[in-house]
Amino acid sequence: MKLNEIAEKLSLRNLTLEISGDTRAEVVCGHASDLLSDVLANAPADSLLVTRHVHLNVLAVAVHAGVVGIIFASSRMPDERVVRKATEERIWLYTSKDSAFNIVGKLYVLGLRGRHG
Amino acid sequence: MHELSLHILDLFENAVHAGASTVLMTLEENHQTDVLKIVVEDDGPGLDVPPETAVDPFYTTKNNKRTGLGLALFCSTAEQAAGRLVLRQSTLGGLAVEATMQLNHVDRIPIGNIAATVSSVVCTNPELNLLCRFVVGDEQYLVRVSDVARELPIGRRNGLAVARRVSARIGSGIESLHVTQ
Repeated sequence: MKLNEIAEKLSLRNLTLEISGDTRAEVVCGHASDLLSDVLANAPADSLLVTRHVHLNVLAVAVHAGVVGIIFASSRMPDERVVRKATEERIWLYTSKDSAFNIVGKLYVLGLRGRHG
Repeated sequence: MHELSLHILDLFENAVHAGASTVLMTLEENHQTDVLKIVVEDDGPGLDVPPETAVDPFYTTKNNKRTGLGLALFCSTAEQAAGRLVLRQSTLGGLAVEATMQLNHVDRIPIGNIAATVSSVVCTNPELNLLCRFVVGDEQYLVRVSDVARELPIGRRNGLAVARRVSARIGSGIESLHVTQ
């Protein structure tokens, strides 16, 4: 599924509108975690990450893991520095009013899958 | 990281990478004040950037990497348990990384297997002058790797033999002081 379609269906707010290029990249997998070492070790490359973490560390971990975009759950908002760095690193940031549980449920219904086993 | 010992391992690696020859780790529990303190200090060259730069996850001293997560993640680990990470100059001459946490905080991650962590460092860095100090209240226990090595006959002072003995010594120290997990 394309990122822009996911954003529309889940009513996500895009925080990185300044990233040049489009959000029509295909995303087929996701990962949900608040333990950053788990993201490092287990998030599939090119996946969408769902987390409550808004610290700069989550972005560095996302860069390391090759994550395409991050959805911040429960209306969590990163500060400007994180948004600026994400724009530089071309990682899409979204925020949602939903809880992480509900976001993941909706993504699953849309066809995204997490790592098996 | 799900255990503090993994953060400690990372700090040992940083010290070795910086060229330190002596590294002292102190793990201190104070049940009166509910504080857990972990300090890893060395006689290396110390920091050549401000502390806030060193804990930036996009700062690294390694040329082939874009991120430097070690100190940044340890800082988060300490903060999530109502603590903080301080970088200062060590009395050994190099850098001291000091993390404090609320000992009984619900989000304080377990200490993990310190004995295995230290012995793996001994095994891979047999020349390193490594000291581990455990403090619980008024009691303390010190393991000096060079002393442990000297207890072995000269021909048997290889990394693995010393590491095994260090691991056992730390294990009994942790047990005798009743260090919290």
